[in-house]
Amino acid sequence: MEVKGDLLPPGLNWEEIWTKIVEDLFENLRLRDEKSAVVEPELEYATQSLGVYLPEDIWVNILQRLSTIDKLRSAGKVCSVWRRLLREPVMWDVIDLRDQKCIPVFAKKDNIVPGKFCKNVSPKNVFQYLDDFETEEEKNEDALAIAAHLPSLRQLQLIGNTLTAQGLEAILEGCPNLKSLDLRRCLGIDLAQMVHFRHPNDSLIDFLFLV
Amino acid sequence: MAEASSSITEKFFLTLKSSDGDEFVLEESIAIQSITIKNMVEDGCSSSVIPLSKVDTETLIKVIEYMKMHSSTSSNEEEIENFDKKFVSNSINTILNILEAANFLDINNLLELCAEAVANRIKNKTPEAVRKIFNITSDFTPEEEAEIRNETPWAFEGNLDHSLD
Repeated sequence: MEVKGDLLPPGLNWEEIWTKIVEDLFENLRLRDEKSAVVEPELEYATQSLGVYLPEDIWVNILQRLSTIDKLRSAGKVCSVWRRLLREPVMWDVIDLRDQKCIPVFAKKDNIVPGKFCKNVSPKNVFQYLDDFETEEEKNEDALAIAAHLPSLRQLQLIGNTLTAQGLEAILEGCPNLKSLDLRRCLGIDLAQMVHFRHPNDSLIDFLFLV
Repeated sequence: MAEASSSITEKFFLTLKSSDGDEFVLEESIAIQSITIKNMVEDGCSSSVIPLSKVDTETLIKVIEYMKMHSSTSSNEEEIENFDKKFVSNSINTILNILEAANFLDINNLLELCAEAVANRIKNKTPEAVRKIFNITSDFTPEEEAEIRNETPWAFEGNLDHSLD
């Protein structure tokens, strides 16, 4: 795969990363020798990671086809090459958590998925469907986690989420690039009285007292 | 006009040579589904044998089978669909070899088909099962292992597929 500088987090360059990788490798070799008696038997640090050689751009092509859940739950834990490829922002253009029986514990701040998993993530879309099994205290966990970890989010669909006004405020503040927000069946937000909403940037042309 | 009628009646053939040295003669109209080969033909480098140093005989046979089935002249849609279904049931190693060949030969449909097939083999599997299927050795550092253990707690981790099918 072609290495693009702009995929790197700011302040890092490939030379530094490469140096770090080599250092890590030596450190691991040292640790392995040192702790070989303690290390679990199934852990092996092979230099040849992939059983079958394939160019990385092919793996990118394959891994991109996986669902969000498969990327996080399985593929990211297979080997270091896959894990590295899965951290590329291109893997996270769409985060789709619909039709999943299993739901990531989407909050706890530092355990965020995938904000933690892919630190420089810039997803354009998050789709999420949540069954209603969170407790009262957790009502805004998803919203706060999204607000805290996905600042470049452009489109968000939260169907049947339990967030309240507090969570909504956090999202509006934390995701300033949001262009589309879908809160259908998010019944924790009481907008029942609201029948007409004017956007802050809407024209003031019909405002009588405009000087 | 004369040119058009000659292209209908006259068939051009290309010879493809695998990395094992086996030669395959193929109609040009079928072979140019590969953009790599098409470019070679257009550049006039196809008069003699085209060596495909990255594709072994077994894989090349499969790729040619695919290109013949997908060439516009033969086979209807249903036939192609059935062929594709059977095609992706090849062993995972074969699929990965074909995938690499399709990438090198730049046959987009074949690349798509195989990439999707490989992705399907990963879906819903545990990391352990995926490693076995692809013969991948876990090469994580102890720090990474710890990081992995600590991330993404799932509400229901239990419904992952452990089988190697």
